[in-house]
Amino acid sequence: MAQKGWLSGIFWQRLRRNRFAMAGGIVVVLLFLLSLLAPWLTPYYPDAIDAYNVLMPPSATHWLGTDELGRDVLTRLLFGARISLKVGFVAVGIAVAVGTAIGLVAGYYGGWLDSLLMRLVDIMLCFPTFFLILAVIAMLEPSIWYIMVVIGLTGWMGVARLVRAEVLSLREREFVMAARGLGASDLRIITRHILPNALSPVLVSASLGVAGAILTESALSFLGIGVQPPTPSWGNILTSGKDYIEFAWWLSLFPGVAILVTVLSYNLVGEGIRDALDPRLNR
Amino acid sequence: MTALIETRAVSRHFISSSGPFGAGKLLMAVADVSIALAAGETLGIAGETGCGKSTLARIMMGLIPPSSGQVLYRGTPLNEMSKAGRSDFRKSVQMVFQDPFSSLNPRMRIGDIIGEPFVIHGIASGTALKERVSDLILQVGLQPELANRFPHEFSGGQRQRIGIARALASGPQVLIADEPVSALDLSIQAQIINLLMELKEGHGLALAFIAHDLSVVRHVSDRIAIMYLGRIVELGSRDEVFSSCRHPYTEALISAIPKVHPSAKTGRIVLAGDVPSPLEIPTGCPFRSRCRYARELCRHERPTLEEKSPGHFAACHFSNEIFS
Repeated sequence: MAQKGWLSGIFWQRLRRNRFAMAGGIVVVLLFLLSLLAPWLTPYYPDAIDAYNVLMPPSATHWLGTDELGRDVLTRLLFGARISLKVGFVAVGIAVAVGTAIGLVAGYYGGWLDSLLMRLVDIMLCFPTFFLILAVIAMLEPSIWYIMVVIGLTGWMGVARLVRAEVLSLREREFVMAARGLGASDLRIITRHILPNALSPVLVSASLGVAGAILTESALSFLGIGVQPPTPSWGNILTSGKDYIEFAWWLSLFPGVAILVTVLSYNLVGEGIRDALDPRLNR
Repeated sequence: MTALIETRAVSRHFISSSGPFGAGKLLMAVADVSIALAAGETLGIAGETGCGKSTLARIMMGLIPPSSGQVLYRGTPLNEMSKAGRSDFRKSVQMVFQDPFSSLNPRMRIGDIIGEPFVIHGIASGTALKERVSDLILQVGLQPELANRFPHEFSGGQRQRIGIARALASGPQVLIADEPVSALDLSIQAQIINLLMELKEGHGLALAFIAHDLSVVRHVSDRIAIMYLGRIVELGSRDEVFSSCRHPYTEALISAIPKVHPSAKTGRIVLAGDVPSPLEIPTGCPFRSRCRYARELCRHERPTLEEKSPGHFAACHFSNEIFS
């Protein structure tokens, strides 16, 4: 098996050589900056209604046009990016935390606990995730926090399986034996010796997960049970745009493009990391 | 001579996995091994790959529990130890592993790896910890400045030195070396063996030295145990085993050691066939399928380990006849 330490140097080299991954990475960083600096980048407020400039096409004053209430589309997209990224990261954070914890416990202790947790994973994977989320959100009131938690709690299974598989192989490595021979506690072995060596595949899963979570949030908001107006989100901008699509194309096109580019970028980064970590690819 | 570590009729089997239907096969890794390691002595354990040496080492370390039998540390069975006794055992019995590329955590710095025993047992912290770690690094012949490096920056021999330093950190009395040199280049092997022997003398350690290379075992050991398919077939002092072995398997192993002098050609006994699979151990004497002296009795009855001369044990029905 390839040494992880040896890989870390090669890892960056390979990642840097992957043009798609680098392009994705640049877009991801750019999106971060844009959403972070949104209030300083635009002279408008995302909620400021302007009855004199309703449904204006893109122009020098409103680069991406205005919506049915005269709000600047670019501004709303920038502020919407904050919501999308927040949902993406918090949801994936929850999924990774839950999945890693369950994978560690299942893989390390094995036996009936492992069987129990893995059957739980199988059961969770049987649910059509999106409809599960729809049902849960329909019962609770729509709120961005519920959305993040629900997306997170329905997305941890892949991570749990990945981590468990890593733990199963790490558990038999001699350095873990050595730690046990020294009398290290289970907690110490798991946190110091196993977890740091099991994290690289999680990185891939996480960046692909961010893309998925952003998409799910957009879909929920599009259906009207996600982020509630007037708070802008890419999904609900798209919803309001669909009513005017015949004469105000900019209202639908730009949020759609934003979702597309973001999801694509995260996927490219995730796949780039996966390729760079793959010891079989020796390019 | 009181034994520091003793195994009493220790066996360990594994169930080889099969499908959900049909029973798994029983793999006897270690069978009925009784062995004692006294303070300050070096016990060599030799045998072919897959004969259960490593499993025995891990049982002696308390890393895997035996299926039957007992491991005793200073007369107390491991499974009956108090928490304090257990902690003392963990400090006093340490292991050097076979594969230096697998035995060091790739995400930890050398200083943290060597210092971990101090942290776990609460022996030292802060600057005292750093000093103890530097001291250990020096003892195994490396430079203390290397403490901030990661394992992948070292060669196999250096890594093995680091593994030895870690094993010495808790101030052990027993060192179990599980094929400590078989993954290393020949030129490095001698260095590591000499280091182990120096440290053994310096610290007054008892050493269980496991290897498949009989010439290495001969070099280091006071007593030698020969294993075949999970059982000890011969046990005795080094000189007795080498000058007057009492088991046909030992005889064949010794005849296979390369001679230094080209003219010193003695008849080399070539064992026919491979080691039988530990899943299908022959009935009677496990060695009979490859033994050139095998007779009818060997097929039916398993020989027990008997004292053939004082302190010299062998498990062979016809030992007295063959080696007289």
